[in-house]
Amino acid sequence: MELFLFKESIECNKCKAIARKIVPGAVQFDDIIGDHMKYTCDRNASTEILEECDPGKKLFRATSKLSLGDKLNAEAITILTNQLRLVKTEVINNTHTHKSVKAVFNKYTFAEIKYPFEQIAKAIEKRKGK
Amino acid sequence: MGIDVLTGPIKFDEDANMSEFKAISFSKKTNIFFKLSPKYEYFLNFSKAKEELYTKAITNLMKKNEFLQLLIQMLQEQISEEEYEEELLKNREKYFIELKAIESPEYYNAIVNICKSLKSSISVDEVSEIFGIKQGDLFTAIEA
Repeated sequence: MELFLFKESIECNKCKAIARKIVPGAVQFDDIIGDHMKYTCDRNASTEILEECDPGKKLFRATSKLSLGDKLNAEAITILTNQLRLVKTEVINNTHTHKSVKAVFNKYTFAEIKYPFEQIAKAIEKRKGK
Repeated sequence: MGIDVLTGPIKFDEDANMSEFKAISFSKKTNIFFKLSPKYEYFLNFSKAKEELYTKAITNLMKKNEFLQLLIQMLQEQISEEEYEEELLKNREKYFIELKAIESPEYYNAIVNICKSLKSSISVDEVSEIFGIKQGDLFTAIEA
């Protein structure tokens, strides 16, 4: 399932992220996730579930999608991950015009759309209205 | 004998339970109390919240700064990945920003007030990081 709207999120044990920029932020502590590190994926970002969460795990957001292959596509995505070591990134050819950065998070990861693609979000909302 | 800040003198019974009034002692000799009117009490809480938030923001930004310095050290290979992780977990208080729930409506109003006074716009994500507040709580407060 592909998700495009603001605040839509996925949670998984292994996650692949592709974006023009994947930038690390601060390390934070939360009573649900525990110690985690924040990343911001900027411009034409997408994240995909490669391995599902352990069953019975308390979710960070009740509305999160959890199935294998669920994918977020957006202008910017926020990632929270239990992996405290800096994730290794590689440059790949994602589109014909620009190169992208790919990263794989091997521990529990929560990803949420920060800024959706404006036109796609508008089109989806318009269709829902009908 | 007591004085309401906005409405003037009020009478207290000697046996009255003083804890019912959110009063502060004015003078032990004269035994005069201030009973705070709701408006004044809100104003006091609001300024207290704002002061606490400013302190928290500076602390959290310093923590982030410390963490990024540690990260740069690792990227420049001055320390190894193992040393980086060990240092991070050893001095958790120095690097980790703790995310908490919003304590009261005054805190939320103070955050809005601070954000409005900033020249550039600020995202929920950044607000959560700077003031150490859970993102979900912020969204709920905004939607309410």
